[in-house]
Amino acid sequence: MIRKKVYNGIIRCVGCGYCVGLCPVEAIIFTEKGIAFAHEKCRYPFCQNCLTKCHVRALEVYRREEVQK
Amino acid sequence: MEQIRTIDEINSKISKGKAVVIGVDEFKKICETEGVEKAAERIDVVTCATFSPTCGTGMIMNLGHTNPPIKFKEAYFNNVRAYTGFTSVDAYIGSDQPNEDNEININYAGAHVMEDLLNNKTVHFRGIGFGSECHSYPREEVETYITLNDINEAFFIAHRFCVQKGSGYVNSSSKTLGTYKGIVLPFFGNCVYTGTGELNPLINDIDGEVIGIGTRILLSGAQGYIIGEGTQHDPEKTASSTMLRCRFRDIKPEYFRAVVFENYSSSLYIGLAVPIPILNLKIAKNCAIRDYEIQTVIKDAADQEHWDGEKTVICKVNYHELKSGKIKLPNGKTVVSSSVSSIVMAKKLMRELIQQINDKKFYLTPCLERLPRSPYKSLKPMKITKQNLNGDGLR
Repeated sequence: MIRKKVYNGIIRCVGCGYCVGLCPVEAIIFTEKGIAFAHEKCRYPFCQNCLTKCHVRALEVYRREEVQK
Repeated sequence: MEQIRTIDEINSKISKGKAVVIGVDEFKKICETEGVEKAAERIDVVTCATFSPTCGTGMIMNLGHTNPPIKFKEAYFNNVRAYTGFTSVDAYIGSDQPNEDNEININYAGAHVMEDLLNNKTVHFRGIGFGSECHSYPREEVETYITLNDINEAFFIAHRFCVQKGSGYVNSSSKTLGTYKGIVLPFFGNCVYTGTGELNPLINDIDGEVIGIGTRILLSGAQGYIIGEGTQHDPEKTASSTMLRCRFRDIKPEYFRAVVFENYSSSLYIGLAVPIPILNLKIAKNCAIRDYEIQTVIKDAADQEHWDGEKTVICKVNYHELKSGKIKLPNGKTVVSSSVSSIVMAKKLMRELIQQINDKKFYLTPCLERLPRSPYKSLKPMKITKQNLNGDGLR
């Protein structure tokens, strides 16, 4: 799946808020400007619902970058 | 209904830089504080928008002739098949056409090819001709690498977009379901819905008075036109929709994103912004509609016996409830509701249209023909005359 990697990146986030409904701990907040993370609640890497289910593949790189910070 | 202004008067104001143009979200607030009459007097145009994934899109293009000439029997862009059943070197690629490679399948489909072309990436092209069967076009095969600059004409078509309002999905079964609205979690785990509610252009023109064939629009940042009603347009039973066209090259990549819905299909995120001229009070009143006035239904995605239009209805909700992030189902369970349409991007597109009008780059056109209303043939399921060999046709 080499192609899949090409389509990752936060730049692809359209701010639909779809991931909000998939988060079991309400760690994703939907704001006027798009999505925001409440990192203290997030169960990553044990839960990766938002990463794997984002249909524009926007969250994979974003979350990894956030974790690295 | 007394006319307040005409489209010609608005265009004259635009050319002088005097037109008052605002977003429909702001217009609604003004109507609530100052009243519809005052808002209609003061404001010339309101812009509405939607930004959603849609499966009903594609691009028609002319690739230019080869020497010796070829007439395509088959054509593939990065191994995604395009339709070629017309003139010699024209091809039509659909957003949902999966990759010929079964391992890649929906992960790189027609939508991804279009996105790559739009971003001026190089795409592998392979065309297979009729060869010796066709005397005027003797070439049998062509293989090359192309970019959008190498294509003569490219037009983007959305056959069904801007659906007035979408239903929501919940899932009563024990299995996670992949749908065109995204993943629906089992045991009523979440609710997914589509549509931007009070921002949607067709919601703000509920009587179909100003939006119709010939209306100039902004389609993913490119100026285009409404060319008719969309497929499955059914204002009485389900919802209105539009068919749109624009030059592919003019599309802005930020409003054009390929999508993969897991266990469903590929799709494409596009955006549409439409200017609504405030010609009379009735049009202004229609634009004042709020989310809590827009009713829709929540359906059970697990009902696989029926197509979307006839799935079991769980409950009725309005867009205000849906956008609040949580809804209460009849079984007493409160579930998170989330949209696959983007209000953030819709508002961005709305502002972009305002900017184009203020910059005198966008003038309004009158609608030449209204979209069909009532009486209109209601949608019906497919007529099946032969039983599938496997019984019900399910895998």
